[in-house]
Amino acid sequence: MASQTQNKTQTHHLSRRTFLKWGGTAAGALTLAPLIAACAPAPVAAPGAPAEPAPAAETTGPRTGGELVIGSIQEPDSLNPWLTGLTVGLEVEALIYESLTRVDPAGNHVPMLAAEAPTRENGGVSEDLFTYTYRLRDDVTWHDGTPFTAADVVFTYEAIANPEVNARSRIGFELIESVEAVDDHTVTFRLNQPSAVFLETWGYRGILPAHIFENEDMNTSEYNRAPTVGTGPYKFVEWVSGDRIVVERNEDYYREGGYIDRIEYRIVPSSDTLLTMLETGEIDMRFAIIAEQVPIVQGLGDYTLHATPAHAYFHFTINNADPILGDRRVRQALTHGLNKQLITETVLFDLVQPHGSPVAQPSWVYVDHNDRYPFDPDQARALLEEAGWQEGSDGIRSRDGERLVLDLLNIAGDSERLQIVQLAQAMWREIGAEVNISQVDAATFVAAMTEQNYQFAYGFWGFSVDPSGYNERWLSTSPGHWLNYDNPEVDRLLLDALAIPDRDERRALYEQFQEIVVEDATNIWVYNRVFFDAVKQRVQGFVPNTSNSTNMWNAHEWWVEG
Amino acid sequence: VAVYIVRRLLGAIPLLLGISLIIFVLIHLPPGGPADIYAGSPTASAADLARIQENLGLNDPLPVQYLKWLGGMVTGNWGNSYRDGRPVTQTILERLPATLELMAASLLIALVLAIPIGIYTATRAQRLPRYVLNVVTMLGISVPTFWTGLMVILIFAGRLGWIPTGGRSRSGELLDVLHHLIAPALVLAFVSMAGFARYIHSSMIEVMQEDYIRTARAKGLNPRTVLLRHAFRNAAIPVITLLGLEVPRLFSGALVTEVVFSWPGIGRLITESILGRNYPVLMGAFMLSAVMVVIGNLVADVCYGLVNPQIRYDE
Repeated sequence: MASQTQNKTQTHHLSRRTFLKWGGTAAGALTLAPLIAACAPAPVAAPGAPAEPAPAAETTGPRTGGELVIGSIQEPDSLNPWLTGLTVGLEVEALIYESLTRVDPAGNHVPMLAAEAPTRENGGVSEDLFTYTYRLRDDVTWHDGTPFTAADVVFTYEAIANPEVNARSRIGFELIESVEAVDDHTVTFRLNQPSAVFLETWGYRGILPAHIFENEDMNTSEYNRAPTVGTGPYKFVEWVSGDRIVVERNEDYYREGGYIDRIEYRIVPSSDTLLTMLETGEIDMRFAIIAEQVPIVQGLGDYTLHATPAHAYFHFTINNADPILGDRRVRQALTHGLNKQLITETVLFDLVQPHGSPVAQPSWVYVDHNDRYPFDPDQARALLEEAGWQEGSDGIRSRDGERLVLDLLNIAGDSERLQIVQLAQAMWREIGAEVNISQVDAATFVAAMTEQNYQFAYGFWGFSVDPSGYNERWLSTSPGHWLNYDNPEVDRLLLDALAIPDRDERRALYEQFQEIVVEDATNIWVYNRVFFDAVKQRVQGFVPNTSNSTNMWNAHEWWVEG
Repeated sequence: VAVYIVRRLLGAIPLLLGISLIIFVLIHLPPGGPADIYAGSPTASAADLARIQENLGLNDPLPVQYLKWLGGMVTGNWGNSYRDGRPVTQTILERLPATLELMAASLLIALVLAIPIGIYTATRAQRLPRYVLNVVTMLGISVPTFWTGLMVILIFAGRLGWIPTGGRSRSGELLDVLHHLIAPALVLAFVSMAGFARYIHSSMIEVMQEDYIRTARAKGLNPRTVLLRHAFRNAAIPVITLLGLEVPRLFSGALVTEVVFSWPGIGRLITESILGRNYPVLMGAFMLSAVMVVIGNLVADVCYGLVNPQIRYDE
């Protein structure tokens, strides 16, 4: 059984996915998984193992027809690509709306509504990096038959740029000086500063139909709930609140693809119930399965389990301006004192890799720094001694009468997080640091971070596929600068890298950035997140992609066997 | 009776006002806000969140926010959901039928099971039925609903395939409705049933010792008639109070049951809204449940009179 199921776990070393911090794991607190696991011996595939060949069943070619059911633990908030703040919202809208470009698993922008992705070679990007010109496809129509034109792109920009619209993301909008529809199928963005990363702005979120939304209030429009007019391979059918969202095949889709007659998103708020539905075969796909369910799903005969490292990791966020943790030696000591290997082997069933860099593992600028702070309690104790923390009678260190006690924030309701912080608590006690764990809910947690009103926290960060995403966390002027880490050298590296088009030159700057930040131990990284996606074997064409905002990047190529 | 009802309803207004103020304060007490839920998304910058916060009116002082809400409430505008921008009334109303269906079915199941159990155990001298009742009711009261629910799904849906793993009927045909409803309703009913059965049991024992029962028996009436017409009718009065009080318990039980059984009702809406700090929806849903409790108690009080004409409403 072990060898058989091993074959079904494919490992993809790809890139990242835009997703919400707490989306996938928040509901995993109460679970039957250990109970079921006890009945079924659980084979575990190492994510570092060489990729197994994908099942080569495409000999017959795509078949038109059939149905697909995707189980989702969350319900979308909105099906407007700019208003949704949830991964599941982006997943469903990506079947209906399309962006100018999309991101392939290797992290490259490839055309979608654009005829080609702008580059300096094809003249789409000016030499000075100030002008981006998109040539659009001329064969695209909206689902109501209206032609798609450059006016829709201009409208989408202007509508979302309106500050009264509750857009969740406007990444790159601050760069835009002006936008112009040069003709029906050409649109030009002029920037107020040179940027090498502007493709990100139009690479994920869909273009909206101007003729539909121009008379609507973007925040409250019924089209956010019933997006009947898109350009995508699937057309909206219905959204039954709390139960399901259904789309159907767009028979007039402008490119080859869109094979499945009907795709249903079934909303199932309990991860345990979702697991049962995988066992009964009621659902064909389930994304972002929690680690403790992975061994069980691996034992299910009908599913292929894809394991894809994400542009995201779990880590201890540190307030670098804290009186105790502001001392680099203390941060380094805590890192030496943490046995990451033990955590990934026990709590995470050896399904993920320990992590030790500010950059996530699938990124093209990632440098492996896992060797910088090996698990070494003696080294940790020596560093604390050096920083003036002397061991007391009860084993807890103190300095000038102050005990080495740290307040750690953790998000409640997730058994995996709790196990990890408790293990860490025990490990750090061994080196003389006492950690008090405060269990809070997600909103409280984020409020503490945003106000920098915290000492120490266990959390999760996700990043966009382009390394410019790291600015949000390490640039001292960024609003998401929860670390309170102020290093002019790091600021300079991150800002310089924004205007360098050449990948190798950029990489050099991000390598220096990682070097400095790892040396300063601004965070204690624990493990790189891996997405586990279960797909029934009758579904063909699925390619997990953590570089794109969702796995739906090639949904028009999916088909189901008869 | 009509005057009594009107007076009770008028009396409920200050009560509901007080409740609304307490709920408003409570849901705003924990730190963090609706925009924070979306922080951490790699594409939502802190600047985006600040802008959304301003647009939602969250930067107003809390008393101003409460008065705005109250003003809207009185004029029938319950506000818009932070999550999807739709009116709160619409969001709640489309979820309400599913919850009412589940609650009504549970209440019915609980009563249908509890009445015979309570009467049977109260009128038998043997100890065994009482022991069984004790065990069953202890289980019902102490075993958490999420566990019962998961076990039911695992066994009857996962292993045996007798029931769906969750969700509500799509076709609306009676058999299909029952097929989907039976498991969540039973699980939700289990706790109520246990409580009802214990009350009926003790109430019956008490009533059976009354003089009028002895008189009825002495007259030579059919024991069955004595039991049902004389004893049970009187023993049922406290149960009616219990029914009124059961409404909020069912409502809160639905929070868990609906999540486990993917039931598209208010309970799940509340759970999601708490996690998402969706204040307008929370206020609406809690006010609705407060109104349901007020009405539940009123109906219970009015029903007293139907069961026992001796009860008079002061006018």
